[in-house]
Amino acid sequence: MRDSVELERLGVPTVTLVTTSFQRLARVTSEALGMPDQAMAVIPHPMGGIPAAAVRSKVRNAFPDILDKLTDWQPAPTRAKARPVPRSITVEGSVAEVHREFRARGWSAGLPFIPPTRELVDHLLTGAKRPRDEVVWNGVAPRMGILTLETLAACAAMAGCQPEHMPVLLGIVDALQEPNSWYAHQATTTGTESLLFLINGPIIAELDLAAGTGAAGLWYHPNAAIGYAIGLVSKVVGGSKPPDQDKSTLASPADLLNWTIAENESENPWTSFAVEHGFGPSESVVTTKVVYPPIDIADHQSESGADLLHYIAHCINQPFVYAMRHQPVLLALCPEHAATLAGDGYSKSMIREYLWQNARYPASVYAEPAWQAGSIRANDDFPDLRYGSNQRLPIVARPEDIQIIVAGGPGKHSHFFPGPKGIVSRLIDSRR
Amino acid sequence: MIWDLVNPEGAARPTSLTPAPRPASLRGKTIGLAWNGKPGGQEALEEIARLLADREPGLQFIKYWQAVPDSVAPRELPQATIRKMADHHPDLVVLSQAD
Repeated sequence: MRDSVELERLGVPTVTLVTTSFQRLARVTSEALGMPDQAMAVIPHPMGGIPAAAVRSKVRNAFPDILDKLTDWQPAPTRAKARPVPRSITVEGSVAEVHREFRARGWSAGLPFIPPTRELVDHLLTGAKRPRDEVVWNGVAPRMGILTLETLAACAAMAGCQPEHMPVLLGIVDALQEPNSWYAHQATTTGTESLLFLINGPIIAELDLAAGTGAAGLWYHPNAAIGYAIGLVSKVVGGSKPPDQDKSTLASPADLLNWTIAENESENPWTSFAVEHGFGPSESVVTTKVVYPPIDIADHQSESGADLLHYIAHCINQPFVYAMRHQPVLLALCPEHAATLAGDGYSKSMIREYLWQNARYPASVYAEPAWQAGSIRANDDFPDLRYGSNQRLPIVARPEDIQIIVAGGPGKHSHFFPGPKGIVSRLIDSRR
Repeated sequence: MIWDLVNPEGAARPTSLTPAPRPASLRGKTIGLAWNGKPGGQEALEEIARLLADREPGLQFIKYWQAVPDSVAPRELPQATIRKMADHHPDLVVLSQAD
């Protein structure tokens, strides 16, 4: 819907085909983008995964409506909606009443939270040296919510954050506004996508962020609180809620709580992720990445780097329909696997190259519509790629799209986060 | 107990845009067809083009998946790509958001 709104802004009238299951999301998104009435032609869901003849039949049935939207349709009169929003509310009763009120307003998923009292939010704001009314994110999709520093502090308070976590949250908020973060896509997609926040640098020790055993398991307060705070920003401020705005087919707990981990820098035999990407070793960095649920690479038997890589390649060689685009996937090596590989002389570049060459799957897994869609296409590495090819395809477009970190504690379980999509890094500035 | 609680939701952007006016007729017009790359969408747009061409011979079509390959993407398009599409001067654009 965003694309049609942008074209309309440029004076180009549009008609958008929307399936019945996504009609409500389309309306909400369009309204949030400032165009509450937009020409949409609704077609029975689905449009994908059905024979071409069925698609054509649906279009023919909808054609009178499509024609009307192209010619005679006029938008309903609208006027700018000034929506006064109270900065605070008053609730009388016990904390249970607070939870009921927040749940009724859509400000809570029903999970426990800490009531964002004025005193608590003021306390959180001591962690940021900026005016409380400053807009730190002007348009959190899909609702296009306005995130002020105060609103961020309220979400942070609810999640159990402390003032010292605010610079990390601000770094994440800044990163997610980059188009390459794929945030808006992640917030509304049907895919099982969530956000992963990777932290590097001295702030790991300063905040006692977890990087070892159970780092992502939500038992460590800083990690859990930061992920939950951003989750509340997404759901409450951004309105990314199922079933109408967040269309994730099944979703996962990370949809609300995200993945927040520190890289295990002390057990990383190579350079850290942040240093590898141009940051200084004394700089604190947060990286956001859109991820799918990970694959557990449980290798307890390989004693050599070569054997381990061979095993990893076979664990991660799964197709992904957008794999030919230049977008990253994430391999989180556990310290023991990292030590095995580094001990046998493997660098990150060598690992990437090996996996790009060997973690492959047959092109024939894609049905013809995927080829017609152009999702799978020939490129410089595969100039003869076409429907019917017997070639084996890599999991990403190029080796450098395989991002590698070291995370977790003792044990021989690495993790691969598939789904090549958005990655953005930002400095964490404690002076903000 | 009386709780004074900060609103965690905040406001939403209060803009209001009016869609661009439709042309009085389709005669002689150029219609852009924009596809986000998801299966079924291209077929739907091709069928719309066929039906429109049957109804109004002389229509021109811009298939953006050919004219502006960057426009085929499963997420919102960068502003530069939107401008490239607009620079082809369509009179109308039909977009497929198939899923």
